[in-house]
Amino acid sequence: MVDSTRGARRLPLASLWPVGLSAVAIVVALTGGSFWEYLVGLVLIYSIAAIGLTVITGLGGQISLAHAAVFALGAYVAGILGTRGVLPFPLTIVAGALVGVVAAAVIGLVVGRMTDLAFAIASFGVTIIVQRIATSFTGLTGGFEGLNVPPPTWGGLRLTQASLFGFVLVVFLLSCVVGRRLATGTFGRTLRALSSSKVAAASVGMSGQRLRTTSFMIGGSYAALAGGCYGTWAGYLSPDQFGVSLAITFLSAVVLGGMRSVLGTVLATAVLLGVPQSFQGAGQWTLIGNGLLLVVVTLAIGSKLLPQPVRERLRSRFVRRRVPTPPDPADTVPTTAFRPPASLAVARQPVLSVRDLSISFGGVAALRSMSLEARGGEVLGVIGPNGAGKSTLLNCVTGVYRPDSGSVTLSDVDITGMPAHRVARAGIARTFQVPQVFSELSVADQLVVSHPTTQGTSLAARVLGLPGARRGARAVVDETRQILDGLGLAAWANQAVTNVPHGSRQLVQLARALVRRPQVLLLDEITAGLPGDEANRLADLFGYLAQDLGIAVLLISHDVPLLMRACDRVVVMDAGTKIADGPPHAIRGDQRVLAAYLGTRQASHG
Amino acid sequence: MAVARRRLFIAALAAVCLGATACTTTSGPGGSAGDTVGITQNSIKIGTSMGLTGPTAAEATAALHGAQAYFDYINDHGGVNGRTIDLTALDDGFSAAQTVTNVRRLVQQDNVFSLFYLWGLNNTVAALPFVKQSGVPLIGPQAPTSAVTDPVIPNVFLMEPTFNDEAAVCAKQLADSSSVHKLGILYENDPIGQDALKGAQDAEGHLSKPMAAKVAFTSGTPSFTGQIVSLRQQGVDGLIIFGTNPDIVNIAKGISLEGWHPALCGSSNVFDPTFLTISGKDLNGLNGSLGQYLPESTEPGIVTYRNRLKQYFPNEKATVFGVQAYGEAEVLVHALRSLGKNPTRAGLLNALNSLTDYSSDTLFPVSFTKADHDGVSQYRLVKVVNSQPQFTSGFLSNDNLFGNG
Amino acid sequence: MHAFVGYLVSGLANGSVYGLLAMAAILVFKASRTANFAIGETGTFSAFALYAAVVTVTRLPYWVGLLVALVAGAAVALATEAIITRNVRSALLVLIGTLGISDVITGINTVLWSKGEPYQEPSFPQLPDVSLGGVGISGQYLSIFAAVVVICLLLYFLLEHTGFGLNVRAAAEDRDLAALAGVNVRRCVMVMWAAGGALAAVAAVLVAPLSALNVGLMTPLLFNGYAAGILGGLDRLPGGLVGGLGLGVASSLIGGYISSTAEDAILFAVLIVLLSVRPNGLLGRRVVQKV
Repeated sequence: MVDSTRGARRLPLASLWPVGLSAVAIVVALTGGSFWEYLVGLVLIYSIAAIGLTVITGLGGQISLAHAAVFALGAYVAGILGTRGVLPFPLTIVAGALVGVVAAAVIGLVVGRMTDLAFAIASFGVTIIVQRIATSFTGLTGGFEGLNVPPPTWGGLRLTQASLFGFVLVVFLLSCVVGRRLATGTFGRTLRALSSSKVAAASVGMSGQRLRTTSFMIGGSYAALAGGCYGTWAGYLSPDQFGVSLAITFLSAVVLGGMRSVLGTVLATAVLLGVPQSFQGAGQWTLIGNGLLLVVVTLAIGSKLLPQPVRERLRSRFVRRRVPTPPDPADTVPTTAFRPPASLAVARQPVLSVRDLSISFGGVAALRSMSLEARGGEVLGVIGPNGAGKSTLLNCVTGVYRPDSGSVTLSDVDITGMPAHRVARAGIARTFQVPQVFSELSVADQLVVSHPTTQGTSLAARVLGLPGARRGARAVVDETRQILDGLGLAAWANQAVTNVPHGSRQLVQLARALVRRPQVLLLDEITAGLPGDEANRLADLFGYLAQDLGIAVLLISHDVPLLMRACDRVVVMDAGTKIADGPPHAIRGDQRVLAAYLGTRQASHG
Repeated sequence: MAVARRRLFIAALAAVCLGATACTTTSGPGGSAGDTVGITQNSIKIGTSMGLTGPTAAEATAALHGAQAYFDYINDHGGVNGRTIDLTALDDGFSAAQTVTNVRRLVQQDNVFSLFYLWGLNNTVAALPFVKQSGVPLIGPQAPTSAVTDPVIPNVFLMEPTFNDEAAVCAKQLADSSSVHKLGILYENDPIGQDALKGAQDAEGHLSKPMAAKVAFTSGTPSFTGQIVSLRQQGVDGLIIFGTNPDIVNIAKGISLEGWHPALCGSSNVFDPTFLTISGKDLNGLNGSLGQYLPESTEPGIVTYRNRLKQYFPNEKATVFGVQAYGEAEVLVHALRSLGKNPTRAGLLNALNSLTDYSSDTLFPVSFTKADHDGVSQYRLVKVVNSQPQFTSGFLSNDNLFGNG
Repeated sequence: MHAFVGYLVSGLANGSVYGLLAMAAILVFKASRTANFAIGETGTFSAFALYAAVVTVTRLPYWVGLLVALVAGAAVALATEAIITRNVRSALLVLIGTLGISDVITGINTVLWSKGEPYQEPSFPQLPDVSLGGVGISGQYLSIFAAVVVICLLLYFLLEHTGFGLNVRAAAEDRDLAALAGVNVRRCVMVMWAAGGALAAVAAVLVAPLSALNVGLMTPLLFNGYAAGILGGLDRLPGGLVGGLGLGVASSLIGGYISSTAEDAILFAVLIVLLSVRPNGLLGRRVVQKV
């Protein structure tokens, strides 16, 4: 039903393509003579590196031109250690990979904070730096003249090209298998979530920095491992082999391969290396053809030019996203009340308390000494005219903004100024006024990647498919299904979230917030775009969440009738501060509230 | 399920494609180390890899046409002892990694008898380990660097002075001038520049004047004022410049702008007449040395070259690279001829190793010994006069210039 | 002191060129939140267009040739926008797509021009050479400085003091809001891309006469231009100039006083450190997320 079971239920046959490709590689190498053996070896090695970039760029959305640098590091470290006889053969490559991982971690930490484009340029700089280091330390690297890497020995015997080919093939096979698990597993989906909405990712407890660094380390280990193999395979290293054109080759392989398909990346690498061999004599047109190929593939993947059905077919071919037919909207309207599982109940009723919170943007005060308290078991409404600071309050509490002064505590734990993902982990979940969903994922996967159990299971356990991780994954899937059922979203579970109508995306956000097992639930204009009867059912749901499950529900809304119905208490904000606080009926008659509202209404109509 | 089937399908498709390509392009036993590989009843197969596309397309194509013009002429006139020369030229787009792949293909797949010319310094150096290991002769790579000749690689023969030598000659020439008191070198931060720097440094011991400044520059930079002013401030009055031509024009302009008049000496690439005609007057007076005749020269051999080029490639112009490749083709054919009816690789190497002062149409006399594979050790000093190169000396060698010390 | 002035002159001249490319990058970024990596080759193409107009094909006066170059640059940029950016959303795909376009333009330049390389590009009307602290400064550099100043003033005037500029700024700030307010966003985006292409053309036309016009003219400058834009801050036009001049002077001083062989390695290392402290560049504003 739900996506994450795909791995378990799929025919094992489908995952055998790495074996199939390897068989092809062996056949070509055996029948084609030593040149084809060499070329196929190169394709395998470049593929390994490109799979690593699929993790960084295809899944993580970070355009890295530093991949060539990490590849070079792995190659040089392995090459130098091997040439000087410091380590025996396969260990040289392992050492290269380790250095590559460390370098990738540093790149991730130092450069990973930048915006996408800045990162692309800075990562280009990393490639330049490594190239220059390789030219400068002549004693170690041979400088411009390069470094000869002698064929490795094993127990005193020189390894033949055939046995090296075997070694490369094994590394390739492992890389494919692990790469596929990463790409299709929860880690890959988590990275895609992060790249589709950083804000939403943080709101469900994902640390962008940490995930990016992890993806760099994984991608880097692939690149460095491939680099080590490259030096041994080619027998010669020189700085100009590891320039920006190599980085662009890797990027092109990822894009031509369809961005997140490991198999696609491998085939694209074969095409990129094979084309210059096949189209000898085309002259200048090879360059133009190469450029056109990139343009055409870019358009094929990302274009709106082609008619929708063609695009979907192409996309599903390239991106291999399954496109089930959307459910009939009539079927998706739930007939019963929203009832998420009772297992979400909190152990101890929380207290969220906001004291004297202030923040200003460019001299304009958005919050001025704002205070409020939300308690478990209670639905608290926050109301106020446009620009009163309601959403800013939410953003300050959840760590999207850092308040200038004041404090936020959750059950006596100070969470003031914490980054968003830590606030989320402390037990605060939220929705966004303009729905922030992970546009690349299905509805069910929004919840799977947000689930604390998924996030808490180590990556190694997930990739290796350890029993604990499998059990966890099953539990996550069960709970995801219960929550989706409880919110009437079951029919949408395997749909791409982009197919879900705008109003219902609010419900998807709510479901995603609930899967976090929140103590405090902050909802920003959740009824926007929903039909009236849904709003009624929601009001009922909030009561259930608060009274039966003990969650503190804070509801920002313009919908006064809803607030009157749903809330136990209402806080009124105007001009960045609280002007009234009390039960709904008391607020209704408050003169200040009327003044604030009417004043603004008149202004905005005038 | 559908996914599973599709993936299998793709994998199978890939398998068929790869297998099919491999089968169709495999011809005979791959990469045998036999001594007569590439020799058939009526042809001798040789191969090269050049940057026929990409940044060096025009120059590389001109070189290829130069060599091909000579081979075509030979083939039209009975070939080499009855065999035609069959040159396979692969394009590497000036990428060194691609050169390595191409050279492997020529040796292991296309089974060439010998490699001929290779375009580019990086490209050649990158292919050297494989060339060395394969033992296949490589005749005349366009890679004038000491990395090719020092130490001697038994199967690799260079036929032009290295940048290393050129820089040493420059240093000596400038140091011997009475107007020069302090030398400096301004070199591009690339393998050519590095080789030149090494040459100039090695020559330092033989010079009567000190080498005061060594400054690298990045190609394509719009302004070199900083480097120029700094060199001048350090008292340099004899400047060696090694780099690509557009940068050298820019530097020369900058120097004359500063009202500075150091004695200049540059790499041989500057003396390309087409280039000098657009360079203006700022390069006038620049010294250097050349190991070949100029494409516009009226030397009988060069006239022959131009005529044959016109005959076989009417649209190609005479260039320094064409002159070089044409002459190298001539040397190769000469050596192959001397092998009689049954040429072998070992025979070719022997013939080249005993070549003494062979005068081709376009190159200065070529000599090889087992201990020296830098075939053109003679050069002539040259100077830019009225934006044209002009020889200022007869044939010289390092022995003449530096003495035997 | 003498040498220092020399490095400064070099740095400012190089920096001005980087700055022009950086501003081209920034215009594109503001218009579409993406990068046009074909901008370097677009410039080279335009420099050849000028050469064709003034020297080979027709013998138009320089100013007309310059206009031809500007139009060529703008047209190529517009075509890039129409083919790639208008159809593709993802920044990565746009980046790869423009790299593809860059290859295509290089290929076309090579097919059309590589045979007779290098060429002598006609020079921008020469300003007189001057001397500053004993250092001669080429009139060509002065032309570059002058062009940069004029272009900055022009852009400033257009963006800050005209109704059209207001529309463009609104579109750059928030597309949807601008569209709601009746701004023709499509047209604004096209104008900014065209302006970016024209700026790249200006950079190429100014650089080519310094050395020699060849197919690889702008390749080494492209990434410096982008680095300058990011150093200055991609969301502010003055950031391009600041970043360009900063990068130019810094690289010149590093080359002069630290190491001429490791110049760009040190430069990029400094750049990376700076950017890790100020991820949005020197002048860039902290991006306030709207959620």
